Amino acid sequence: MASKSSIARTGLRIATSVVVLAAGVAAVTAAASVPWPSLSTGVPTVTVTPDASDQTRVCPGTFVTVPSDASSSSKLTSIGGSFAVVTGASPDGTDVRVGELATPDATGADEKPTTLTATGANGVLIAGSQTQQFAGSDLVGLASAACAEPTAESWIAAGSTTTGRTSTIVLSNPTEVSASVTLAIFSEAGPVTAPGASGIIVPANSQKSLTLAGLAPDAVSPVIHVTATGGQVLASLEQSVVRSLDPGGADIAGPTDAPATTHTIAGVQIVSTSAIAERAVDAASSDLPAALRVYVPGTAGAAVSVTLKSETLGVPDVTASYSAVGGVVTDFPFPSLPDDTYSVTVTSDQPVVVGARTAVVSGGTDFAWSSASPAISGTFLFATAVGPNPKLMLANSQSADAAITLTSGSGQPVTATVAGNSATGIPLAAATVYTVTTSAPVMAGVGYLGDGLVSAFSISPPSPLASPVTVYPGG
Amino acid sequence: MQARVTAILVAHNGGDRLPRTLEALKAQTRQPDSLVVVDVASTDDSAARLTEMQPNGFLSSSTRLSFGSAVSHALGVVSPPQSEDEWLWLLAHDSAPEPDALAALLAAVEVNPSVAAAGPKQMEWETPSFIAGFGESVTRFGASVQLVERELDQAQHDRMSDVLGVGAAGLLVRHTVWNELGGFDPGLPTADNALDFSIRVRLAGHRVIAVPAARVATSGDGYTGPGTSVKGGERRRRQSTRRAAQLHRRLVYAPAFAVVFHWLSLVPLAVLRTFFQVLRKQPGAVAGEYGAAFRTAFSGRVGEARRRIRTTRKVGWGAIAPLRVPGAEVRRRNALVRELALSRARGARGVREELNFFSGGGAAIVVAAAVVSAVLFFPLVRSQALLGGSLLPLSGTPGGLWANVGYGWRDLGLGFVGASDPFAYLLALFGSITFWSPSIAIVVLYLIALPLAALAAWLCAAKLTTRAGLRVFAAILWTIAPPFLSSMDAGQLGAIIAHLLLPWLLLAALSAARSWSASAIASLVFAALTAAAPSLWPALLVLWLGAVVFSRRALARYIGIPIPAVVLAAPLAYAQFVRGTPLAFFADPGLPNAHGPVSLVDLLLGLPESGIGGWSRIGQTVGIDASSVELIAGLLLVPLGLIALVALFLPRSGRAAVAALIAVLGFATAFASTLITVSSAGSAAVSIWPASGQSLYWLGIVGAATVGLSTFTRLASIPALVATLAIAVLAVPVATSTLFGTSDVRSSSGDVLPAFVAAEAAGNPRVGTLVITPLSNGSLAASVVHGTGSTLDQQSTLDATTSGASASETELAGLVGNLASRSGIDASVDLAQLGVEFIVLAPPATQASTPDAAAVVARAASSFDANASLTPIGQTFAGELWQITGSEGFSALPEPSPTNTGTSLGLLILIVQAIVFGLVLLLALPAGRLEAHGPRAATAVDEVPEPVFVDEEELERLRERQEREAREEREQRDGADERDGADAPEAEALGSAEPDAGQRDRADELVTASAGQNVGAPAPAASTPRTDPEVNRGE
Repeated sequence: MASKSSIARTGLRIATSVVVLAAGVAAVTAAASVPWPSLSTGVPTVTVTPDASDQTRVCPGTFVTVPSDASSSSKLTSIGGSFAVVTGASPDGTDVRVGELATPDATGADEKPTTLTATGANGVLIAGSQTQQFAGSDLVGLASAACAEPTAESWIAAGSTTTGRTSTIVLSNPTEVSASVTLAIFSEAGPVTAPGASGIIVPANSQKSLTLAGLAPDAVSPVIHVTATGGQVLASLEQSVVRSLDPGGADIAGPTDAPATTHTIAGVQIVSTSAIAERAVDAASSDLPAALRVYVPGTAGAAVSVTLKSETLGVPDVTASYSAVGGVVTDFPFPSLPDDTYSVTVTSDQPVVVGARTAVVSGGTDFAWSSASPAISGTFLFATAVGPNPKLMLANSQSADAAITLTSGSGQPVTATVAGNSATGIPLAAATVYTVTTSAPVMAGVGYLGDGLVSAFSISPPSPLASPVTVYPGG
Repeated sequence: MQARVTAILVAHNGGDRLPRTLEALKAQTRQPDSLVVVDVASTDDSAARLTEMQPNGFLSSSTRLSFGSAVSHALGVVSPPQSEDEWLWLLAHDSAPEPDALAALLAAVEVNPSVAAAGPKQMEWETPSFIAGFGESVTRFGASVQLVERELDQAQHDRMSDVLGVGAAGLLVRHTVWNELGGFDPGLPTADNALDFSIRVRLAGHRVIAVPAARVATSGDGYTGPGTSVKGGERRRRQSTRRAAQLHRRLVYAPAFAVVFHWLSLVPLAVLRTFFQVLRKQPGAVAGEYGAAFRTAFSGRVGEARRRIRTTRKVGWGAIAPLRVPGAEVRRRNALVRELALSRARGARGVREELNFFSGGGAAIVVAAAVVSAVLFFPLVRSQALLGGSLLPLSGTPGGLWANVGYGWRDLGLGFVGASDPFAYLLALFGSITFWSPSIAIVVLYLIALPLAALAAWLCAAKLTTRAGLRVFAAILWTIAPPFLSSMDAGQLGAIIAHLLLPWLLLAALSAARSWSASAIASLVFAALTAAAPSLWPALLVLWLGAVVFSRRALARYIGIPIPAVVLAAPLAYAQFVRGTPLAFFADPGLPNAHGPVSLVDLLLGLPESGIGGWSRIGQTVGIDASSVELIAGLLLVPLGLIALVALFLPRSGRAAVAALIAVLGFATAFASTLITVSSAGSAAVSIWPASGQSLYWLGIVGAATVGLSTFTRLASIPALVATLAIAVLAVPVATSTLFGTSDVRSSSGDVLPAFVAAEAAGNPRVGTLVITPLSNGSLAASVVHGTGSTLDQQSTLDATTSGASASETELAGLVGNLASRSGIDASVDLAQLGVEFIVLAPPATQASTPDAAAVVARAASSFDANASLTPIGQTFAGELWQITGSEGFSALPEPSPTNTGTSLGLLILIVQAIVFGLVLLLALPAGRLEAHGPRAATAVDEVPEPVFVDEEELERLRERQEREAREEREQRDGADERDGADAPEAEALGSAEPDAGQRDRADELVTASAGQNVGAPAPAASTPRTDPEVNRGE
């Protein structure tokens, strides 16, 4: 009786255990093999497209340099005369407020740096550029610059402070907030320690100019990294050259692209190569031949490959390879090239900063700095000022062809095609505002070339600050 | 003159007891002169049996009359009394008088002409050696008191004579007096019917005596009196009837001017007595209290009864005062009943397991855990608050903490109105402990979590095994449980609390079968557990359901366990349900924080995140590939898993099977947790932290292993040691992470915002700060905090589980997006209007520092810099700080409105919760002497066996022991009967004497001593004190 019930109990117990065990095994097996549905309610997120902001462009203004008369050498002066600014806006009738910056550092010229402000809205484009032509005893040539957006960070790969080379850094702050600017200067010797290069206050709506020689004396090939906190600035480098007693030209160099492994300089006008080669044997003229300035920010050296694409159809690309030492700036001469306008594509295994210098010696001497610029797509606006033979220089670094339509306010639209991986030049009229529509991203620049006159500036797309941003509220 | 006795026998469905009564009547040595029988709506053969007696009068009633009314009806067929010497003898179907009962009664009244009513000694029906009732009285406040109740008759009460009242069964009453007084009060159908009559007899100037020589056996089925059934329903009904009778008598006896006050006090008193009844572990009496109050208030019988007293009263109330029971005597009686009940309870529990906390390793393991904890969490020792994971500081004051519970304004971000998390109540409770700095409570919890876990596990293991080694084994495994240590490592506060509470829930639930206190504690722990880890709801409900199904007589103590938890969680659950996100109810409370995914292997190992608790990383650095690490880790769990598996096929496998079932439930919970992703932190979707489920899983495994090892008579220590060491190895990286600084939890001063903001907040507590955090994908997370920063108690899962951005969030996001961009609108103005004065741009978290994040930081910073209305303050520990200065004056967020008491709904929720938790707390508190025991208790747990659903063998053992005890009890009684005569005089002297402290103490000693004896020899010695302390006191 008892044994029977105890057997039954034991049986029940074992059965229970087996059932529980089976449940456990089933649970784990099911977890491993059954594709269980999972529930996810998602994350609340809002993508904010910022309201279009006021667009601001600032032109560097009249050329600022160290006065030639020694009496007031401590003070910079602004050279007036032959100065032209052309601005425009699209669509027609857009309300553009034009203002001026105060120039407490450099007096002299009547013309003040121009600022352009248009109320932000979709499709509103503003642009402007300036040229200034010099024919003085110590200052000759043509300097051109784009009226550009102020930014918090920019790089300049231009200038020199060796004997006869005068370089001025011009910081234009068109914002309502004073900017605190720090300049990091690098040269062929590496980073330059300059005590006065940090905490430079640029008051709101004013321009600050500094001589580069005061910060980095005897630098053959400086590269400057400009960072602004508070307000934003447009940094330009204005350089003039006197070789012995002969004036060697003047130019304004704008910002170039931040360190990257690929850069494209849209237009480098290489002329009078044979004459330059002759004169270049003189040490004082060693900066006449066209050269590529490369700065490798990291410590590792960079293998740099440069491809020059002629704007002339059918001319094969020229490629050169250089090896750049890390942490220093090096000017690499371009290989021997026929006179032409080239787009320069730089690829490197390390991020680099680049700029290009060319010169003209026929009918006078002048030089020009060209900077790398990002690709622009869609529609953009630019202006030419007064200068000889203005030309829109386009480079397409992608494989697809880019169809270009060029419209000026009065004339017929001009169409052109920039074939994949090639460059094209389109002649322009002076003092005209153009609207460009492109079917594929291209790099663009404007160049002037005449007797003893050469200059160029690049066209940059609007700042990416106004791109949409994703916000997770309550996070 | 010869007395003439008319016996009136009332029968109501008494077919089974009537024959004995009738036989006893026939056997009377002094036969009643006439017999009138009344059959009250009997559905059995009572009527036929009554007819067989050939009574002088036979009445049959089709309605269910009370005993008193039936007697009054019967008198209709009796000729009116001609003289004072005509008596009525009131009997019911279950009043079997002994042969000389009537003779003894008559003998007593004949020598006392002033006596108008005489009551016999009422004996128990089944055991005639026990007195069921003998004499009644009232206290000074009118509560009725049985002078003798369930005592072994050792003639100790045989000198009793004049009493205030007697019982109804077997009452001999002068016919004239009966008529004069109008019989029993119809307002008192059972309880106090004869007592009230006796009092009126006394007030009419007569005497009432108890006649010890006359014995009448009564079955106490609740017809002539309130009855003595031990069934729960009967007990509750009886309690209500008694209370109603007391209230009725109060209204009837009160002076005229006080009646209104007494009447008005009926319901308020019932409310007060609700709390009192709950405190004395009598929840079953609560309904009866209200029933009695309302029945009495609207019975309409008070006026008639008062008139009757007014017309018949001949002496003042002072005349009966000496017969009332003094308060001291009442207390002495209650103490005796309590001692009896406690000794019985101990007896039913059988071999009283000594806890041996100190000698059994409990203290040692707790101290060891404390030392280990002090080392492992040393970096946190001096902190004011903890940050990381789900942790944040708490509000600065207990008032602030309690303001964040209930339904009202959730002061999180721009705020919304909704229900708080149940977790907020828990935090408010914790924070109130360290009221001077609430955040310290969390730090302290972290520092003592290990010893707390060890303590809880040790006590829980003590319920499963008597072996000290195994208790320590279970305690260690629970303390080094991977889910527990991983939660500590990841700062998941809810899971930590859940792990600490799970053993307590088990412990309380196991004891709940026999204790209302334990049941209430279990329900409180259940509420806390589900508040801390809502993901445990389904598993705990399944376990609760199982407990209810198998609880048998303890059903009432199991069925209510989830009530407080439900009351706490209902507002949130309703809000989530209405919103259409019912599963979001299970989201972890606290600061939502992203955690890693988890693989099945980790899940089985008890690790809530992939990476084998840090071993994968260690393996990588020393060059062991991931699959080998996984294999080794899997092997580490094998010893413990194997023991748990084997336990299923060893003796006591019932318990092991339950434990294994818990483990399966825990695993299922943990796995389901990984599938449910309902909350979000920044851009990361956050799934439910599986460690809470894994703690349940671990509870099952460790429980099964402990049960399994406890059946090993030898060599249990070797597998136990191996299993413990293996798990310890597995747990090393997560256990030491705080020490080595790799833990997510970090010490903090309690500040989350820069000091500049804190200083501003001192003068302007509602100052708003916009905290912007860059995320790895180049997006921004933005939140608005007020004052010195957001706190843990402000967090709301209702907010964390929103699937889409609300209108205000979208607006805020738009402002932030524009502010962080070169934008055409100056968002700072709108932000200032929202109440934001400061903007903190936090650096990207270490795991989110990507180029995209750096770019968005630069973008935001340059935009802020370029904004003329933002003044940069500078770099702080919390990030870069700007102040919006364009707006006038201080910006401040709106005051939180409505507060948790600001709406009628919010107030109602808080009141209901307060009442429920107040009652449960009262029920949980030990009430000591106030606790009700014995036959008068409406809710008695004394006779419920230990929870039997755990083990069928345990049940068997219990059954055997109960049988043995019953047998021994019978033997004991027989023995006592034999000793009866010898002990009688002394016993009686003691019984009626004033209570004496010394004697009480002696009784205590006896009880204690016998309990002590129980340890060695379970039954034989124990039954003596268990039967009746009264007896022992006589010996």
